[in-house]
Parts: sequence; structure tokens; C-alpha cells
Amino acid sequence: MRRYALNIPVSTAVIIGLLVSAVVFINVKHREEQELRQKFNNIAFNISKDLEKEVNTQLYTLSSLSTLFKTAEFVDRYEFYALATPLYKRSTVFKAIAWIPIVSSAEQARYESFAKLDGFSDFQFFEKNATGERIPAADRDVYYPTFYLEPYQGNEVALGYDLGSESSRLAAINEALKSKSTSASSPVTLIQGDHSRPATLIFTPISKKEKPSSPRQSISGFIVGVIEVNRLLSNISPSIYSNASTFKNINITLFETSNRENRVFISSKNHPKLVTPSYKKNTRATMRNTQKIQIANKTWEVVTSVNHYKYFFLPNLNPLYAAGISMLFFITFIFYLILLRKQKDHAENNLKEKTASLISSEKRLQAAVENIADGLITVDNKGRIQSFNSATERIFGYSQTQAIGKNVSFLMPEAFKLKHDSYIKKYSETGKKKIIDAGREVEGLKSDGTLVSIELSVSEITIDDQTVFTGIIRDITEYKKLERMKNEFISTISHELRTPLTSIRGALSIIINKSQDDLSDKSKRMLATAEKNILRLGQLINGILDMEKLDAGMLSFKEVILHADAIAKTAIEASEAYAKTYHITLSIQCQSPDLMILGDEGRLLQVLANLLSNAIKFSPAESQVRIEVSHSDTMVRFTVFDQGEGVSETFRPYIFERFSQADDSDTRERGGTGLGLNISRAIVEKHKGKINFYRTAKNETAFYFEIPIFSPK
Amino acid sequence: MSNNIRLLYVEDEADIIEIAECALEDEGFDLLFCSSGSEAVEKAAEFSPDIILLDVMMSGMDGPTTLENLRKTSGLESTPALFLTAKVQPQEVDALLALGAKKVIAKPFDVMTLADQIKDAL
Repeated sequence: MRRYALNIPVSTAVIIGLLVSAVVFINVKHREEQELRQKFNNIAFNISKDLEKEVNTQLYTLSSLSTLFKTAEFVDRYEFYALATPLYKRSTVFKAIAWIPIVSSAEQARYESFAKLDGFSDFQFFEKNATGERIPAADRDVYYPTFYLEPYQGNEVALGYDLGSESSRLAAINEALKSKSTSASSPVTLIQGDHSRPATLIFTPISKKEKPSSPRQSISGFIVGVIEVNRLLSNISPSIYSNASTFKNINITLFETSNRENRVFISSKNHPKLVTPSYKKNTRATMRNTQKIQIANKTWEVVTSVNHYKYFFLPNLNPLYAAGISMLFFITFIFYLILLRKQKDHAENNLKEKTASLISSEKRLQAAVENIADGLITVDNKGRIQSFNSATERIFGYSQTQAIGKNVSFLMPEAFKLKHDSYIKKYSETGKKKIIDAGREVEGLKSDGTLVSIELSVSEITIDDQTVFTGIIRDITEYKKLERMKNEFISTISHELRTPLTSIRGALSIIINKSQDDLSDKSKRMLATAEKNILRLGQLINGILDMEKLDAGMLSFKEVILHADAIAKTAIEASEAYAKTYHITLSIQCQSPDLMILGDEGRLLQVLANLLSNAIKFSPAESQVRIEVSHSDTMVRFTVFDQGEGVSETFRPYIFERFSQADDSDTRERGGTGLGLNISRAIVEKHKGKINFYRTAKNETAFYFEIPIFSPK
Repeated sequence: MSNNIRLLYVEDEADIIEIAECALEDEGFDLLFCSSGSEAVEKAAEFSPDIILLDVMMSGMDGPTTLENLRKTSGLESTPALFLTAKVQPQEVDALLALGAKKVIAKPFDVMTLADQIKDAL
């Protein structure tokens, strides 16, 4: 079915295309032909007029020569040479110019002897027989011999030829004698020429000076101009009449039509050898024009024809071009139709597939959205709820149908609602956005009027040029509850655990310090152990509390300007008692007493105390632990050196991690929480510093931390 | 009348009171221990302390509230007051000092130096 559907518009387009192309072709061709014909006719007219003018101009020169013969007593051969030479040389049409006297049979011998005197020893009046052989002129009353002839060279054979011996020539002579004016012969073959070179002889009569007895005897002779018609035609160059590329091979054919019935072919420009006119058969000659011209007493027909004209190569309005272009246009159009059709089919198929896959993916997406644990809500740019998944239903207690279309602010507690409304208003007025992007803890208003803790992440997406906000809502009630429990637990530790600790520690301290004398040595040792362990317990609790605060980001600092070495001294003093129990001596080295730092004194002391207590713990008895305060351009460095075993290779990467201790045995022997260095690192980093350790050349372990020098500006 | 310093100590933990009593006896104090804020408010006027020591976290009336109430008692408007607390975060300490306390002593306290810390605040 689709194939037919495809073919109907396409074939219609093909037919229309062909028709239009044909109409365009015919129309353009016709118009061009008309134009060409007009052009051609103009050319033909000009050619014939030029021919006529050319010949007649030359005829005039002949009559000037005949006048000379009339007035002069006698014109000798040399004089004729001198007069005729410039004439034929100037002329483009004459093959020869001759003087033909009218000679009576009585005068024949005298004329022949004149010629012999002029140097033509074999001169005689002659004619040609039927086979074309030269024979002495037959006996006639009157002879018309070719007596003077210029140029002699090339025309020698004609000298002495009796023009009266041949009918065409004689006819022209008689006409001239009769009319006493110039006459032209019918086309003849010259004595000195061949069939391919038809010629016409122009006879200009020379009148006698004295009054003749009869009109016929008033003419003494003729000046004859020999016009070789081929030469005349070759002078006509059609290219001067028209753009050569428009008309190729213009043919000019000449006929003599003096009597009506008989048209005599003279010559044809491009087919001079064809005596029979070929054009009659050649019906393909697409253009022909006939003009009549007058050559002396003869009428000639100038037939101009052209077989080829190059309208195929005309730059403008070329019918084939036009047809081709229109065809091309239609072909393109057809292809376009086919393409369009195919695309439509393709698109329809695609659409079906896509729709199918969209429906299924839509379903899948919907299922996914419906079933995710988090609430998903989409809101348009005016704050109206567009979608509301089932998790959101659970969180807020509203059903989808209740929620969709309502302003999202109805899910917000009063304070936030106002803010949100004003924000939406501002957004629609100014396009200024102010949305919760990352997850943020806010409160939502449930359908029963209670508040629910939610974590809300809002992002903005653009669907079909519409801005849509998606909110992902996580019910964090449980999380909040857990967090509260944790906080309560920590509070319990800090209070409930510390209170008994205070009591125990206080009690032990009082006994040890105030009731020494009443105790046995063993009891004293036991009490000392108890006190030591109660301190350790206190440290552990403090460590855990610090750690919790670190995690919650609540470890606060109160930064003040401090003297670096004063801090170090305070730290030494605080650890003095502890060092004594391990039989360690403490010392301090200060590079510069004026170094200032910005920091929390208590926390920095805590770090130093931690480093010192570690150093003391891991030092061999009777050894020394020292603090060195040094500095670079920007940092103050506190280094604690001890002579202990140092940090084992395997433990190095973990030493600053939580609850990390070198090994269990160490822990038991030395005590400690495993939190100290971790907390220390956090404190140092809060002071924009760093903490690390190294082994010195003197086999000491050096733990250091450095924080920026405070420079008051 | 002795030259002893009259110290009012409000603390809801009996054990701590006992320890404090031991720590402060023979140190030149006349002591009045109250186990709740309300008891302290009740007895303070009659006792007329030279200095007041308050635990912060107590059941019932907490330390700051107790102090607030004591300040309403004539004669105690400017009596030096000290807090004892396990909460020694800087901002917590600052908050307590802002209530008009002279000093905040961290728990667990050192029994051997407690008397001196109190005397320093006078």
C-alpha cells in the first residue's frame, strides 16, 4: 500500500515536470527562432546589398575606361596596360579587364597583324569547338576578339578569343549593342578557367566618335570586365555581419533570374563545385532568405541560407537550457517528494517505536519514581505541584490527588511558607533564583498539622522550555531521633559519667593527700594505682567527647594571640608531675622568645600535652624529653623529642588514625586512649597547620606540629 | 563571728558534696551545702554567703536559673558566683561568664586545688 501511496505524487510530479519542461522548451525555442530569423534576414539583406554595391562600383570603373577609348584616337596596348592595371588591381572582383573591338571580317587580317606587331606572334582570332579545343575563328561577318587583356599573365590563353563565337557572350554583346549600355553575360566558363569557376562578363560598350550610319554601328567595341563569381563571393565574409558563433556556415548562392521561368545557378559560396543547386533538396536548411540584386541588365538572386545555427549555445534564453533547468528543478522536486515521503514513513515508524519504548520507559520511570524511598516532587515555576510520588504521600500524609496543582508552600510550616511565597513572587518578577540546592534540613507540615523533619534537595531542570523544580525529600525523623539519642548519650557521658568520676577522683585524692599517715605502704600503692587509672578514665572520656565534637563539627576554638614559648613552658609545667612518675626529665629550647601565634590556648596545650605524654610514656626511664620551639618564615614549629624506640615501620601510616596504638602490649603497658594523636591532628589542622614526626640522626623520635606565625598588621 | 569565708555550694550530687566537704574543710570556709536550687534560694538570705558555688546541670532548677533567683535576694545582688561544670567548651564557658559568674571551674575538679581556686575568685 505504501508503494502506491508513494507513486501517485511522484508520478504526478514527473508528468507535470515533463509537461512544464516541454512547454518551456517549445515556447523558448519558438521565441528564439523568431528572433534568430529576424537577425538572419537582416544579415541576408545586408549581404546582398553589399554584393550589388560591390559589383556596380566596379562596373563604373569599366565605363570610365570605355569613355577613354571613345575620346582617344587610338589606345595602344601599353596605354591599355597602364590604364587597366590600376583598375583590376584596385578591384576585388575582376579577374581580368579586356578591350574587345568589333572587327569585320575584312579587318581581321589587319587586327591580327597589329597584335603580331605588339609581339604576339601566334595571335589569331580563335574559337573553341564542341570538345573545347582551340580552333581558328570560323568565317563570320563580325568578330569580337579579345584584343587587349590585362593582366596578361594567367589570362594568356584568352587573347584572341572571339567572344562572338559563344552564345552566352554573344547574347550579352547583342544586348549591349541594342541598349548601348552595359550588359552582363549569363554565367560562363572562362577560356582560362574551368567549370568550377563560373564567371560573368560585363560588356561596357564604347561609342564611336562620329555619327554612325546605323545605330548598330555606333559601337566600336567593348571594355569587358571578367568577374569570377567565386572570387566575388569569397569577398563576402558572413562573420562581419553576425557573431560567428550564432550562425555557422552561412551559405550564399547566386542565381540569375533574368527570365522568370529560368533560374540559372551561378555559384554558391560554400559549394562552388556544385553546379546543381543542392539547396532545393536540402530541406533541412532551416533558414533561407532570397534577395534580388541588379547586375547591369541582369537580375540576380542572392539566396542566403544557413543549416546550423547555434541557438544551443546562446547564453540566454536557451530553450534546452531552460528545459534542462526546469527538468532539473522537477527532478529535484521529485527527489524531494520521495525523500519527504520516506522520511515521513521513517518518522512514522520511528514514532511508533519510540512511542512504544517511551510508554514502556515512562512506565518504568514512573514505577521507579513511585517506588523510591525518597519523596520526589516536581513544581512548576509558579510553585504549583506537578507530581507527587507515593513516598511523598507517606511523608506528608496527603494523597497525590490532594497535592497536585496546589502551591507547594502548603507543605511548609507558616514561617517558611511566607518566605517561599515571596520568593516565588520575586522569581516570577525578576527571574532571580534562590533555591535550596544541596540537601538541607528543613521542616515540613504534615496533613495532621504536625511537623516532620526532612532533608530537601532542590534542583532546577528545563523541560520543553519550561522551568521545573524537582525536590527530593527524605524523611529524616528517624535520623533526627538517632541523632538526638546520640547527643543525649554524649551528654550522659559528659555528665553522668563525669560526676561519679569526680567523686572517685576527689575521694582518692583526699585520702592520698590528707590521710597518708594512717595508711600502710601497700594501701598507698593501691590508692596510687587507682588514682592513675581514674585519670586515664577521665582522659578517655574527654577523648571520646572531643572526637564526637569533631565529628559534629562542634569542636570550637577561641583564638587569641599567644606567645609560642609561653605555651611550651606551660605545657612542660603541666606535664612535670606526669614525667616524674616515669622518671623523665623535661626541658625546653626556644629559638626566639617573641614568636606569636593565633590559636586556642587550651587546645594547643592539649596537643602539646598529648605529644609530651606520648614521649614520656615511650621514653626509657631516666631519659630526657625536650620541647623545641623553632620557626621558618611563616610557621612556628613545636617539636617534642624523646629517646624511645620510635614508631615502627608498619604503624607509621596509621599513627594519626583513631584508636590506633602500636600494639596491644604497648597499650596495656603504657596506657592511652588511641585518640590523642587523631584529636591533635584535627586541632592542628583547625589552626591551618600540620602535624608529623620523624627520626633524628641522634636516634631520637621527633613529633612536631607547626602553625602559622601571627604577624600583627 | 569567725573570719571564715561563707561559701554556699549548690550541688545535687551527694557524693560530690561529700568530696567537696572533705576538700574544703580546714581551709577556712563556713560551708552551706544545698542539694537543689530551690533549697539554696530558700536558705541563702539567712546564710548570707560571701561567695556562691553552683553546679550547672542539676535536676529541677539548674545552676544558671538558681543564680538568677539568688540575685533577686537582697544582699546577694553582687555576691561573687562560680560555676562548676563538665561543659567546658569555650562558648559554654563564655555563656556562663555572661550570666555574671566570676569563674568557671571544670569538672572533674582537683580536690587539692579547689579551695585555692575559690579563694582566687574573691
